[in-house]
Amino acid sequence: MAEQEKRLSPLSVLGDGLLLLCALPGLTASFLSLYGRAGVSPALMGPLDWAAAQGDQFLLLAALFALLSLCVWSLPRFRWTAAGGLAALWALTLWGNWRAVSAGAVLTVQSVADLFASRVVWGRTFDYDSGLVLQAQREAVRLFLLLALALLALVLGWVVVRARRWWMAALITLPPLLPGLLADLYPSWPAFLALCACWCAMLISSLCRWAAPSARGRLTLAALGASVLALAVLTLIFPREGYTRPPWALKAQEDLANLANRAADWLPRWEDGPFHTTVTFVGSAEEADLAHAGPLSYSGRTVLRVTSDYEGRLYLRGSSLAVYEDGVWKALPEGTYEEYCPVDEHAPVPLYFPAMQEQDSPTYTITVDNVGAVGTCVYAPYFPTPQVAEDTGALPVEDSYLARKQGQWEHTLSFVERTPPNHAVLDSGGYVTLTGPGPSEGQIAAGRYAEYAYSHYLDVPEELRGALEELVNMAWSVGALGAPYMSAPSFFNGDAPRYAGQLADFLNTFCTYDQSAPAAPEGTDPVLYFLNESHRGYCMHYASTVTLLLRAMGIPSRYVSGFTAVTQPDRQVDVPDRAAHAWVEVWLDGFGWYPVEVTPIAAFEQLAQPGGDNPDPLPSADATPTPQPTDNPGETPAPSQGPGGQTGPGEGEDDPTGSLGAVLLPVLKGLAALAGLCGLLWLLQSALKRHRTQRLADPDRNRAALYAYRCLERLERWGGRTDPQAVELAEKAKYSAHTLTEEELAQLTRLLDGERVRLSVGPAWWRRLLFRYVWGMPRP
Amino acid sequence: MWIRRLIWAGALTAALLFQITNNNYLGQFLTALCIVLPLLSLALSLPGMLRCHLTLSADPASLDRGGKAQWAVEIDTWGSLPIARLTLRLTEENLLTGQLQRAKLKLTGVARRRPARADAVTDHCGLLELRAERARVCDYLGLFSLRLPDPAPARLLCRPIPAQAEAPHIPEGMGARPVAQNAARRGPGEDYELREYRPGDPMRSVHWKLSSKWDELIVKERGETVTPLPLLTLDRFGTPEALDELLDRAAGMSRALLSVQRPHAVLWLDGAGEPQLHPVSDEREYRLLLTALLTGPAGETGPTLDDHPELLGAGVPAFRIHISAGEGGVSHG
Repeated sequence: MAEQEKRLSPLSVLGDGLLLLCALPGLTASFLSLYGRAGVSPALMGPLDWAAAQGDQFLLLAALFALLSLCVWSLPRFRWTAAGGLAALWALTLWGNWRAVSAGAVLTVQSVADLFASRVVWGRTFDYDSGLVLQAQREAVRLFLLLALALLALVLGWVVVRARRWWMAALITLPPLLPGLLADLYPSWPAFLALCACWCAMLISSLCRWAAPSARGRLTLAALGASVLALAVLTLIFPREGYTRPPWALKAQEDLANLANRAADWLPRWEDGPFHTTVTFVGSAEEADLAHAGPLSYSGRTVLRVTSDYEGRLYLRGSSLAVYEDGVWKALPEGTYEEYCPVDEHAPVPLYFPAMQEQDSPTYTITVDNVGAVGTCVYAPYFPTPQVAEDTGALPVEDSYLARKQGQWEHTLSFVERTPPNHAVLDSGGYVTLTGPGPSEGQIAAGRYAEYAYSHYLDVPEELRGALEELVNMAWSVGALGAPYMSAPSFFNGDAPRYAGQLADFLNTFCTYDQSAPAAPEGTDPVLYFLNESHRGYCMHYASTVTLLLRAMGIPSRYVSGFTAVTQPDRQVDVPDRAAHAWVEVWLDGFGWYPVEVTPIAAFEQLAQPGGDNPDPLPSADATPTPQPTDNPGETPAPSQGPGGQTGPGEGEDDPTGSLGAVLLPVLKGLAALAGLCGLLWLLQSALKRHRTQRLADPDRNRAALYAYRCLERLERWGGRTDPQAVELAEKAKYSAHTLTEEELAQLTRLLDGERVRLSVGPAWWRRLLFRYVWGMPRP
Repeated sequence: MWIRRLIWAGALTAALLFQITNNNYLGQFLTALCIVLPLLSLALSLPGMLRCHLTLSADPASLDRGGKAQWAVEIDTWGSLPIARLTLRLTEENLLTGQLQRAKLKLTGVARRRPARADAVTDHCGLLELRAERARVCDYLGLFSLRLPDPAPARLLCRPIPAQAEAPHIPEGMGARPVAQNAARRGPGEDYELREYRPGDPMRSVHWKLSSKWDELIVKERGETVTPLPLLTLDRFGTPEALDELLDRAAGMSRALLSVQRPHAVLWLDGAGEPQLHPVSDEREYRLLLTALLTGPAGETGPTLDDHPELLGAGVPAFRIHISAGEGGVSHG
């Protein structure tokens, strides 16, 4: 760096001053608008809100600090002395007001952290008692902000005027805004644009930071002006109001999420952290954590692709969970299943019990391609046939789920329709005949598993039992449950689905389906919180509660998660993430596990709303796969059936997001094409001009003269005239042994230029355009 | 530049990822900004980039060996904005010894007509030539670059330092027959050459017979006057150090002869074995001689004049001074 390049010129000082005036007041206004709430009544104003209300004063001071810093750092000599003096003054002020400033700093940080925590559902708020009254807190924050601003101005001045490094400027000015920006808050846009313009201008002039001072100043001014213009145009083209993500972004997110999901077999789970809501992983997992289940957020990405010859609603079952502890559903402890099926024994798999029954019912085929659902399970419809399931690589894991092989994502299964046994069968005292190694063996196995189910799927946490039984009694007392409550399971087991549906209806009388239901407070059981306090919840809350209530009634039941989909023959259905669902399975003696829908209809309506394209609300929970408590349970629809022609929650929707982008995209493309065309024309013009200049400056004057004459000849087709003098000079250049003099060549060139000018000012606009921008003719 | 391009690609990818994974307007804004910023930079840089051209020069244009000289790379561009970055490869070649020096030059923030300077290597005699190749100028963000046409090379004459020498006594009547340079290949008897008529040629120089035969004016141009002159011969090859010594001695002897008002001729064989004969009678011819001596390539080995007695004027009394490097560098007789 040459010493002379360290010096400044008026232009460079002007450029640096404008940069500082963009950066510091821009940062101040952005910060205050991000974290200070506007329009709050004075009584409710927090310290930062109050500072935001005093924004004009802060802006003025920021500008003054910026100018002072500019003056100090622009001094040709003693600038470090002056800066040291200011720093000492700053330190003295800090020393004298240490208590207030430190309290102000903590209060400011607390306000920012609280805002961040409330927006991103991550951190915890921290309590700080400054011991100051509100007015004193405001003063403390004000003092802190002023001192911070002064320090920032001094450092930023050195960065802009002396170090001239854009990344340092960004490093200093961005962090205060980062929490708010990451929490989806927006600062005052003009102020933020001013700050961005400073970054852009410094970035553009970064390579020339050690150029001659005046040249650098000119470049800074040009870059700053161009940046402001570009940012303003960007804001106009992409207005902030009504922004929705364009469809390509949604599609890309889906692809990325699915890719990450598939890679999850080898990667740690990506479910925790502050931004877990940005990428939603849905599906069946080994645990269902109801305790921390907060508001739901879906992107609408496809998680399953389903093709089936079945027409109607399908419940694609993931895994079932049996144990409820501390608000978390878990699988049974390892080794429990051996009570039913020892390791060295091959008993019929309980998941296949219904399909193993001898019933005349059609068989369907389904292909499920897992493109983005988590878990190692196969999302399979109810009542899959055992052999086909195992042939396609879906292996039953105890009585819980069908597991997929690692890396295998597509499974083709066959399944059958099955209806639960009616009273007549149950009353005959026997189980439905199962196929298998032998009728008696199948019956024995089913009977043995029934004992297993009654011993492991009736557990309720002791701390919940009282509340649950009380609620069941209340349901009986208000007549929500039709038949008298008997504790002997064999008596009413066939009515279990009906009880489940009635319990769901009973819950619906005082609870509301709400996807944004908050998580239960720490230390509170989520089911009790749902029942007694929030009365808001979604499928996880409903399924968990009904499962526990059924257990409290003595009905074996379990929590199941998976997806719902409405299929049509020979049509691939994309199942979105918002079709993730949870429901209940009840144990039916002589049949097996039977699914019951317990989430109210509002769930599906609400799920369908974002698309706005789902006019057919699902029938009530009673009409969904839940077997009805009719006199003839055998007539209830099969669990995997649904009303024909219905659209599932979140399926078949045209996402309206990106409509703005759809409009803007062609405009942008057009603008880009126009800009490209202009650029090409400009390049062509430059090249032609350069070529012509070179040819006319040919050292061989005769050759240059002949070229000029040829140009004149070419102009004739556009109405040009060739002067006789030009002809004479050209002939002399062509045939005479003499070389034309400079004057003669200049005369010929003048004739050519004159003719060009004459033609380029003709009346036709296209001719003017052609001459100026295609042929590179000079302007008149 | 590649680092800058990678950083830009990384920033664009980050902005795209931010837009893809967040329903936040800022993502779109940053993505658009990442796309627009290079275009903005290009728009600001392009006029200067397109009109940028380089000029090479040497300061001074000639000097004695070991002196201090500098090459200057002057950049001329359009407008008052500086050029962001200019890269080029400079090659300095000693046309006499064939020594090459290559260096990459990277200039940032170059203002108009502010030449960049580099020291010339003047360790050995010779005509030094500086060439600039692969010149590229890039935009303000360092993402786009444009190739510039190679400028005309610059030359610097690095002269020998004349050695102290004393003019030998040359007997009257002794001299070589310094054949005219162009006539050397034609043999004796032809002392003029033919060429086309040029305006200004005297009419008496027109070769009328040939002109009428060829139907265009042909003039005769007489060759150099054949006068017997002392002949200074040298075998112009060897290592750079040997050449320096040889040329120092030759220059010293030539200067010594001039100092005693003795015109002479210098004869040597160039790298291709062609004889080069230069009469020296004054300072101007001495300078011309040096330029000719220092220009052509000289290898470490080459043909000697002793292998070509016909060039030394066989049968004609001659006074020949032979210059060679090393011990006994000057011999005459």
